[in-house]
Amino acid sequence: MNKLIFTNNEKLDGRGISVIFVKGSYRRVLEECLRYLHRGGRLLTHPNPASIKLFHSPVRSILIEEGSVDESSILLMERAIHQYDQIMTLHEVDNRNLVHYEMMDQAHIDSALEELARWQSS
Amino acid sequence: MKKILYYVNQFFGQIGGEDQAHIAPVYKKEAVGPAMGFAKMLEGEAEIIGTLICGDNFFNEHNEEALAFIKDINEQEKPDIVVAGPAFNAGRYGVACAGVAEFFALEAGIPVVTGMYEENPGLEACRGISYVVPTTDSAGGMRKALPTMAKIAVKLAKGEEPVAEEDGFFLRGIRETVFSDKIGSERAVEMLLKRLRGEEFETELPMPEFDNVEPAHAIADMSKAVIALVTTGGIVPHGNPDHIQSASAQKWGKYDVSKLEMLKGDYETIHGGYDPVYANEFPDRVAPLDQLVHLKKEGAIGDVYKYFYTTTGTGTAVGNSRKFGQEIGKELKEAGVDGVILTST
Amino acid sequence: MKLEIKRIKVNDIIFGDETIVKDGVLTLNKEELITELKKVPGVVDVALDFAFPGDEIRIIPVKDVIEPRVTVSPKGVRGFSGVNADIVQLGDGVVHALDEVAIVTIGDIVGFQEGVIDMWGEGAKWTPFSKTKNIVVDLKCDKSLKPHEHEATVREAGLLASELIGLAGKDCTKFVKEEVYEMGMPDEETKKYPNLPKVVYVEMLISQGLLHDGFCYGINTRFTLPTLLHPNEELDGAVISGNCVAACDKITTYQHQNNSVIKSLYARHGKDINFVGVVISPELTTLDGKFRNADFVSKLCSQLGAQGVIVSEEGYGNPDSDLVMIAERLEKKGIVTVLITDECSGWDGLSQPLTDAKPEAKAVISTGNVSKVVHLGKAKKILGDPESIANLAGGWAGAYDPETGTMSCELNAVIGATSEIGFHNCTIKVL
Repeated sequence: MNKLIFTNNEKLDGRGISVIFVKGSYRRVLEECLRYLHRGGRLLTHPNPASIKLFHSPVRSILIEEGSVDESSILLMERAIHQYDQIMTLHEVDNRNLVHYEMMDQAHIDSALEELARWQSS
Repeated sequence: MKKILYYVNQFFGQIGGEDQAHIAPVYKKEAVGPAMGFAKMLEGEAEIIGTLICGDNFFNEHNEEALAFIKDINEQEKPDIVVAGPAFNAGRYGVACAGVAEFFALEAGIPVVTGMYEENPGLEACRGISYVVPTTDSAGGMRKALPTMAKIAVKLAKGEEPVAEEDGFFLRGIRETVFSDKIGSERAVEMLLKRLRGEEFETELPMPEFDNVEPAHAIADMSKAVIALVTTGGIVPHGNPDHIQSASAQKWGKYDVSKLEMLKGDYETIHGGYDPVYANEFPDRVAPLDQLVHLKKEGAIGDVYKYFYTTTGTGTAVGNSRKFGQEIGKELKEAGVDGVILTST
Repeated sequence: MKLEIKRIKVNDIIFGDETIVKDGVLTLNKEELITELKKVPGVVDVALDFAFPGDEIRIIPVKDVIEPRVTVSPKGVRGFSGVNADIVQLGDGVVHALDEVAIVTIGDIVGFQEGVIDMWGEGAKWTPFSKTKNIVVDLKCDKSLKPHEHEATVREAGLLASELIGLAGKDCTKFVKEEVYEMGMPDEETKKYPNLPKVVYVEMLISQGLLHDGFCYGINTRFTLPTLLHPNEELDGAVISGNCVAACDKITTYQHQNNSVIKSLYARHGKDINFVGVVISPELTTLDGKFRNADFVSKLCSQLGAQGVIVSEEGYGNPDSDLVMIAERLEKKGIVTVLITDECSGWDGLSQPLTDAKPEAKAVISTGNVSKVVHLGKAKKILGDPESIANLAGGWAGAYDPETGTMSCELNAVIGATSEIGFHNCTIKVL
């Protein structure tokens, strides 16, 4: 199954995977990914990060797999947007530290790819 | 002495009943209606400086205008505390009190005391931002509600912080972080022990209510199915012959659409919760009768049920919604309808 | 296994000619310590400072907090097994710990790091580390290091500092407290207490990559399946933190060494419960990884015969999914579960705290609202990077007043404030 990365991170190296570049904010990436999932595909990574500070990131990358419509991915993405809004309605995006967030985003996509490479059966 | 501004609707403001629900807001520099009795319960700590009276329909249908008027009065009178209602179970009144609370509490930074029945659709919006006293569902509860509301106003006038359990208002639902005398791990172990022993315990993070409805079986042959159209989008025949409310609906309507190819031309929207322009132009955008007729012509569905059911969703009490759903559902089931397209906004 | 942790009272810490504890005073030879720490590849300079309870000192950004200890028996065992020392089986032996003393490493690896410890005033209430006597280690690293190398360097140096300073207590004979953790393996204990309910502690650990790592016997938990530990192993240093970002709910190494859930369960072992083990559950980035680990954790709990489980979380955001999935699987098996987590209910405490809810998550301990705004006073001294203060302002204007030096910040920026292993005592009251 083909993988795709939805991202607004200009510095992201997709490591050979097709990148769908979203012009705009982190939230926009979530929205566009949700729109895509309505027509098919499955989330491979959780749309949100694991610490609150990373929610302030201007950039975000999400790994998905092409395929038929996966309801649980759609539901998860909707909840992820709600979770994002819960934190970010109170905060500004941390553009000051863009360079570091771009790097963190890459590092976490790399972790995910590495995890998948190890666990996946073929 | 602290200054209290009182808000009531056209009925409690002694202007008129349902027939006066359309009146624009007025301000009287005196205590009117319940404010009169309220004024006597203030223990010398505060006084009523005036009463705002506004028609329930006006507040809901001309919201911006109403708020603009209220804003002016606020600037003119500079109240310390605002009291609204009590609205009992009157839905539009409750929603109006909530609107008043939102303005004063959030924009003007002035504390608000109000009262309403627990099922009043206005409660959700204002319980977190104002002090809402639970009342009975009818105006007969005024004698009990007013003193409780007054005591809270007095506390506020004295600069004290009202407490839900002591002063008798709905828990605001504010989740305040405080220090416990036990660290989290101790509390966790205690909770686990209670569960292991089958004892009652209280979670510190309640789950939302899971109101799941079992889906019905899939329709076996859609080409033979009778499909009914139902909406909470407030789409009604021109002139709203059954006077369905624009918000906080008290009823639903049922109309014969068997001779129509679309709702356009005969129907309009009375829903108070969205900009009506596009729905008035083409009501099928909200309740797609035209598409159902089209599907029938194509043979994709068997038939469009002759009756179209409609009501307004916005501000409608959960209790009423359940009732409507059951009533309409019963009729549709008895009529042998196979499936329903239910649209909301 | 039998682990004895003997705690040495320290009334004061000073710099001097040797590194030793005598009569309640911990003396540190500054030059020696700095020389040793600079031997860690990548460390360019080291500064050591003290911050005691009540001092008007602010420490920011904090990378990790570690308890200084030394293993006295078995002889020759040093450091953290598998991390900066040889692998040895942990959980048995005698350890000397400098009581209520903490090594606090500071220095940011990325610009947005938070993590404040205020030693006085309003801020002090919100962190458990305002009550420890802190030895603050500021590590300056080679600028050419890549971020993960930088993190590893600071981690290694921090652990080394705790080891070197811990050595000061090696020969002490007087202790303020002697903790004995003695517990056999599950089958022995079950023979002793056949009627007590079996309880497992599932400890979730952020395992998502750069600055969001955990280590068990030196292995990054991204690479392990959920792992069964005897409670003594974690108390003896088997688990250390590589989590540098989530200030309020990251489990610092100090908190692993003194894991409050383990201690609370241990105290009830043999009386109310049969505490059969600790399962380290990595929180992975991939969804498949989360499903796999949730299944495996619940299987391990069944395998151990658990009747009750406490699950603690680390972090906020995607780990909420893991937490709820694990609860769901356990409850469906009839294993009663209690979850410990923090929540995000907005500045006004009115937002719905949970976004990922399942009916099985019915017994939850809330360790506080991460968005609660607290007002920190002006510090007389700042140990760390004053620039980081701007991060603490949480991204909204006017929260930091450079004139008065006072600052509003959210609890999520305060170290240990909403500790999801229940290390601190914040909770929620509904008004």
